[in-house]
Amino acid sequence: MRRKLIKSAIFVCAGFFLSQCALLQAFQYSGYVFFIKDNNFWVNDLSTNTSSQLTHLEVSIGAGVLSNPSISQDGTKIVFSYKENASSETYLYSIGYDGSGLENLVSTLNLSLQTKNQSYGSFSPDMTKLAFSAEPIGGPATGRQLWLKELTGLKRLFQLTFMNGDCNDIQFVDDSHIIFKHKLGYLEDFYLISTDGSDLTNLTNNDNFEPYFPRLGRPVVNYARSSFSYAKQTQDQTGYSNWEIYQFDIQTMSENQILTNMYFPEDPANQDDPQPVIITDSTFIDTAIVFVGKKPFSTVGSLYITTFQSQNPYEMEISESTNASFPIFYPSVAKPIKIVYTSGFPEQLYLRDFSNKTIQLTSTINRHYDPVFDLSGSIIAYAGNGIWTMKSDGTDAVQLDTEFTARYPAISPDGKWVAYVKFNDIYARRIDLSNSPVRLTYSPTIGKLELSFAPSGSSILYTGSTQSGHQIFSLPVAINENTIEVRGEAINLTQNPGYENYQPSYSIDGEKIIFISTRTGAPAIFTMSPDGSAQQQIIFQTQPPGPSYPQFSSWDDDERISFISGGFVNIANLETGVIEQVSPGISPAGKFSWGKHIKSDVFITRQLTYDRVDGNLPYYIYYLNISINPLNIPDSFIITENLPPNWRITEAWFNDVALSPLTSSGNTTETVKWIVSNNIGSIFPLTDGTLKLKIKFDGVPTSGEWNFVNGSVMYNSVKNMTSGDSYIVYGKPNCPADTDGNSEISDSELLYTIEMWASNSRICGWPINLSDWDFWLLKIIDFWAKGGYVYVPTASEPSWNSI
Amino acid sequence: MRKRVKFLGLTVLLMAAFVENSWSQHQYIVYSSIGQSGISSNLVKYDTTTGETFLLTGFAETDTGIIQSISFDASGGFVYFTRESPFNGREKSAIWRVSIDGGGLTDFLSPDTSISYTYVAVSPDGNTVCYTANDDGNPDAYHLYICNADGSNIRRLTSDPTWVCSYPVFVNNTTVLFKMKQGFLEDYYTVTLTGNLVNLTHNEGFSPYFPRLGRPMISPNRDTIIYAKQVQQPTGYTDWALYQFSPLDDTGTEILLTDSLYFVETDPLNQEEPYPAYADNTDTILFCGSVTGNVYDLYSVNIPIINPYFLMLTHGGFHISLPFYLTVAPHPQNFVYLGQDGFVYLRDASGTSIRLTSVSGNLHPVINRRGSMVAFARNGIYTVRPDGTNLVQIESDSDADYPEFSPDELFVLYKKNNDIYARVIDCSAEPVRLTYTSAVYGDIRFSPTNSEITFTALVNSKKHIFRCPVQISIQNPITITAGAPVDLTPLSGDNYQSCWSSDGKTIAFISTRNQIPELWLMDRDGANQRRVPFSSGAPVNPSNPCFSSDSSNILFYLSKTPKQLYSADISQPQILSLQVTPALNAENFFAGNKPNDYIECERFFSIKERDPKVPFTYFLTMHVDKIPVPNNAVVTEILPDDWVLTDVKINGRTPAQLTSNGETEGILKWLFGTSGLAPLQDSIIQITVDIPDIELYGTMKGLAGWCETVQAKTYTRGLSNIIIADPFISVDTNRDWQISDEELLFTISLWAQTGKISGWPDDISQWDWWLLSVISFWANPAGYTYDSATSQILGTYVWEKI
Repeated sequence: MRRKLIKSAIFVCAGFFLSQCALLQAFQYSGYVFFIKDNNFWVNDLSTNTSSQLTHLEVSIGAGVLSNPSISQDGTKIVFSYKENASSETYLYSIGYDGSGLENLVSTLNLSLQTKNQSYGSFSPDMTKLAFSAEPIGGPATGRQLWLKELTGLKRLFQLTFMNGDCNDIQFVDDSHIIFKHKLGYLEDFYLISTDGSDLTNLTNNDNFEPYFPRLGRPVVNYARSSFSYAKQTQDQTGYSNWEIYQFDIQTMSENQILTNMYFPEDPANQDDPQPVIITDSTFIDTAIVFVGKKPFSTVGSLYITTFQSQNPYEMEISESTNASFPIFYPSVAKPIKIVYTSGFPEQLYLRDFSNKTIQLTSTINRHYDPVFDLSGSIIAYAGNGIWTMKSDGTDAVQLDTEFTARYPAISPDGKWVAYVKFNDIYARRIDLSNSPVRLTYSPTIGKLELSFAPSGSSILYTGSTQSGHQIFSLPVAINENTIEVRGEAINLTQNPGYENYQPSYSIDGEKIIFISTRTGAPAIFTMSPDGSAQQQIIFQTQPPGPSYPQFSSWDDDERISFISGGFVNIANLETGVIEQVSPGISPAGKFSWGKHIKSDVFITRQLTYDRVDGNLPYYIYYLNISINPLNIPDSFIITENLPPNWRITEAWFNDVALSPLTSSGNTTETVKWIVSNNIGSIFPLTDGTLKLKIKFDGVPTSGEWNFVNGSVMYNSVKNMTSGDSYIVYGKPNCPADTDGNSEISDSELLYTIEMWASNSRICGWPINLSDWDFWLLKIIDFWAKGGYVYVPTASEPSWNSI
Repeated sequence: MRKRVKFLGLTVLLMAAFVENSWSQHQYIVYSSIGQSGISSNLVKYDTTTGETFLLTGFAETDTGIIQSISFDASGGFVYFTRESPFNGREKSAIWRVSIDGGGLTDFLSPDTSISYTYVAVSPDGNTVCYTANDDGNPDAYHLYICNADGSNIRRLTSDPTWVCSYPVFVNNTTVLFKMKQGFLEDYYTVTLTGNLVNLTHNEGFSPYFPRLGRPMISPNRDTIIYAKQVQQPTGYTDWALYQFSPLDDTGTEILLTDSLYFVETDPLNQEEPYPAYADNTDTILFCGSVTGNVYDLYSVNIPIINPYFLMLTHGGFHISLPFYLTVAPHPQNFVYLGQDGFVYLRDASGTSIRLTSVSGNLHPVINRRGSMVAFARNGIYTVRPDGTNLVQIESDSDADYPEFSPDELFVLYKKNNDIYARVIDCSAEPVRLTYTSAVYGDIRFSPTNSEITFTALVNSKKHIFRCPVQISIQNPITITAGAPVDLTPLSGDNYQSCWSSDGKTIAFISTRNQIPELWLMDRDGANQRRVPFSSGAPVNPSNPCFSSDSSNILFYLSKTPKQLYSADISQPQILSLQVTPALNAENFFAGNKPNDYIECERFFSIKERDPKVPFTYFLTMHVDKIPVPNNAVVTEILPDDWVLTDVKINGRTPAQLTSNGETEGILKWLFGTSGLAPLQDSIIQITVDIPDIELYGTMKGLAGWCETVQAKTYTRGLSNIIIADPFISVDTNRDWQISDEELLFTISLWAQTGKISGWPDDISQWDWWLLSVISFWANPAGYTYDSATSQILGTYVWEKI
């Protein structure tokens, strides 16, 4: 439930309104259907059938026509065509899955040098290429051709086709093959072509039906890229048939009819393409079809979801999809991870990276033990001839302690310290070697193993060898900028004499500890609260035999755990109960660790604090959260933020330190920039942090008027668009704790608020002053108790009172 | 794309078979590019790996002449081409030769200036040159000639006085294919070096509708040609189409590859031929074309041709023709090494070693990058030419060791009294102390960018690798200074014997952090330290890593006991340790290029646009690579009309007179060597001229020159065009009077490395000020402008925010 709530909170903060009727119908499906409605992007969460608007392109680009979207395999980007009303040209754009980071690809990829009227963009699964349809500039006029732009390396532009007629509806089948629809007069066919321009293959050969050529609709490949779905109208002497939906199996090169019972009030010649798209379940098996249609006796089109060969395809309607078109689907996919482990003899470190490739990280004459990732997945600490750290690509190995027998390293959540065991006591040292090792315990008679930091950095878990067996202890510590100190006695959390309790580690939110206990007679995976309470076994349908080294995912909002069982690394989804062995199998020699895989070197997310901006207040504050990948820290980067008209920065802080000047570019309106560098000219330190901006509105804000905020970060000739919130409307903001925006605080919203209060965390950047939390929590309890609230701003801040 | 992968795979296999000289071949496309003036063309080298282009020749925009033919030998080391060049005294087309790195431009193969040498080809073995030329007696007939690669033994292969021969290309070392034109009849012929002619195409059968033929280009395996042809019909010529022809004898047949080329010119008679050429295999071709009619760009397409315009390699701006794909063998490496007998030896690429020192007891020999000078230690520091001549003592202190050349070859650095010293190579100044640590152990290595050094120093008895910035100023006098050293390996274990890759991005070194000596790599700033991951057979007790001076992928090192020379290509997914053959035993060694056999000058200046009211100072660097060194050389420089030489400095010193020929306008000459203005050695000539204030803005001025010795004349390479205009600041790479984000990040990175862009800034001690200026230009939406008034007062260019 909490997970759903968090998702909703994200959407609300992004300025998207959840529908009042959003929860009318819950589906058995999961994943997301993006669609176009009123020339904007919407998204439907299939698990709840809630739809929300992602964009306001009429504000961010200008009023125009949006069409032909396609989503990348990693689900991060949607590429689409847009023709502004004021322009005769069509351009390719991309946005993030959350509607942020609008980018004109024609401009940034310099596509207009050889092409015009670009449309039907599609990213290759590995995100290294963009295929699109466009007219060539100059040369023989042969219609729209298929082009391929390299996004990496030489960034070359290839013209793959040289055909009479038009090439449209482009989809990657894999990284090196593309399907597209070709239309020449009335003849329409699907073609397959390699990305090197060779092996052009007609998949449908509809010229055989001359003169009764069938009509083909938009093809969309399924998530597994094993087939594509499309609608087709056959033709005979009497004219076209109604649209019917087919699936083309790419391996067998054959088509199957998958849906026929669709209703059309129009003559077939006037029927719109149903634009089918295949929906998959969590294991990526095709399960259903989403299509555009009009249910019987209706003249209004909507999106419907139905099973293959359904007799009544109109039973389930996608919420708020009236007049929607161009549905595309993205499943709920696991977040990318990587695994470090030891293997062989003498044991060496290996990495199974996010692409499932195995890389040997060490090759030395001594044995290695206990590899562990930091929270970002960028640094690995390990033991073997002392204590070491290295980047997770195997470079920059640094020896922190030379004691040959030192073991069990753990990296502090800020990534600056490594704690480890030497001579049965716990030591810690800064990762940059700027201090000498600090001894944290003085109890060498008690063996200590398997250290793990709390995500808050306030304690270190370890397994202690007591007279009553191994038990789990929590050592309270405090980490400061240059010091680490013990704040009290180690607490025995398990106190489970006669049984073994060991291999503890925290969940990423710090609320749970996962460990192994033998209290049931055999090793089993248990969890408990940080204070040792609520100890319980994780129950699976089939208990994994002999589990060891259980670990929560280091991604937020990820319900997976991993552990060794049967000698191999397994991953279990606690929501679904499904346990899967990592494939190809990993059989660690001892402890392993799994970590995040982060792609970007610099990643910026924008966080707009409230769901609406009260233009009557003197200012508005929002945040840019800056995350730098420690694996590959750039020397410099430049953050650009394009402010809406009439927005002016009046104050700015980085990690709560006021900036002066406010921006590196000197200006405070329209396009503003900040240089961040290890070198001269940096406006604030090159480190993770939050850039807080205080905005004043020049002019008179009009209630209901939308604002669009866009931005990017550039480093090493790479430009990444800022993700997160992009659109916000002038109006009375809802209380951020009211995540569904219904002016009431539900039970679940109250519990979520209490959770955030307890962890001193913000809900979408609110409250701006964390010291105000107590006040706000009491207010929200009041709203919850009174059944609602109303907006009553103070002189400078949004505020609410109970009704 | 897939074909490329196949090729790389093949390369890997080949490398297992060839230990030396098969490493990391470079692949380029060389083509002719006509500048915006439309009257002058230059050779451009396109690197197929990076997409970067390099100007190989520096003919001025105003030096009238269009390149007509391009050829290479199988090694790809030299480019032969034909072109006029009035600036260089060639009113009629001449044969030119330039090395693939742009050096050594000369016209020694076409001595007669009254003859038009129109087309040229060189045999695969590089020993024979074929060309077409007319003669004074029959200027309209162009015959086919051959000569030896040194220009001797000229023989004529054709005799028909009505023939116009063109486009020769060697089928093999003894057979030439060429185009014959006789009136409207055009045919391809082959001819052996003994004069045996064979007509391949027999187009007389199409009389009177003879087809037109373009340039034939031979396939990589030399059994097929590709060419363009216009078929003639009663209605006239068709558009150019592309054909293949094989085998290359009178049984050969023709295959149409495509007739789908597009031409803006509707009259085929006005269409420029597309100059097809094979790429690295017969499945991929290049050709020139235009879809707009304004410029001709280079396209690449696979056979069978579905879309001729598959990949556009160049993007407008210049008119491109005559593409030629070539694979260039890596530059042969010479090794200078300390034998286990204590003598210094030089081993050339053929494996032949010569002894350079007459006594033993020497230490740590090094060779400069160009391979023209060796330094070593023995009771002091010495330099010597690679033939053992010109022994010069640089430092007499017997403690001195670990010599190293600066990349500009002006200084020798070395360790003395546990610090680093440097001395000008001509000993014209006393040694300069660069560090004050008293902890330097040795292993001094200069970055190829000339801006920083690494060295080994002792910290708590452990060897650490340090890096420090170095600034060499060629103002008067030449100076060298060093900044604060930074510890790149603050770890346990010993880290030592650092060396730089040729691109200056990677440092290889030895580390014992895993208890045994291993080969390691790191970025120039110390980041990404990683062990070289040998796939099998990691070297035993490796030492003395040294990158090839021609490649950042090839790492040489010593291994085993006694120490033997090995190499590894670190760019490969499977890194193998391969013994260099024939085997070489050495205590230590250093690698450098096989020296060129010429003396040449390179012209450079930081900013191409010149304000006539600001004095113009530029530089000629003279590289004396000819071994043995001749007694004399004359450097000639031709100034534009009315430009006046006002000052000259040679290696920072003012010579006895401004020029040897007493001129300060027009043709200037400096004699180096015996009785000359300065010794004949690697030198920098600083030239200051006064540009007439009346020069019109927008006009282009050309500089030309050469270096002559008794045996050869080599034309000066480098920059040759000056535009009279307000100058752009150099970091404004797209010249739009604005600093973009990317340009600013580039500037910051340049500043961090104290690097230069096109020689700017002149004084890198001013970098902080310049960076702050650039930041202010970046922050200003209106950009920046040239500050003419201040520049004229200061005598150097400055800019200001608009």
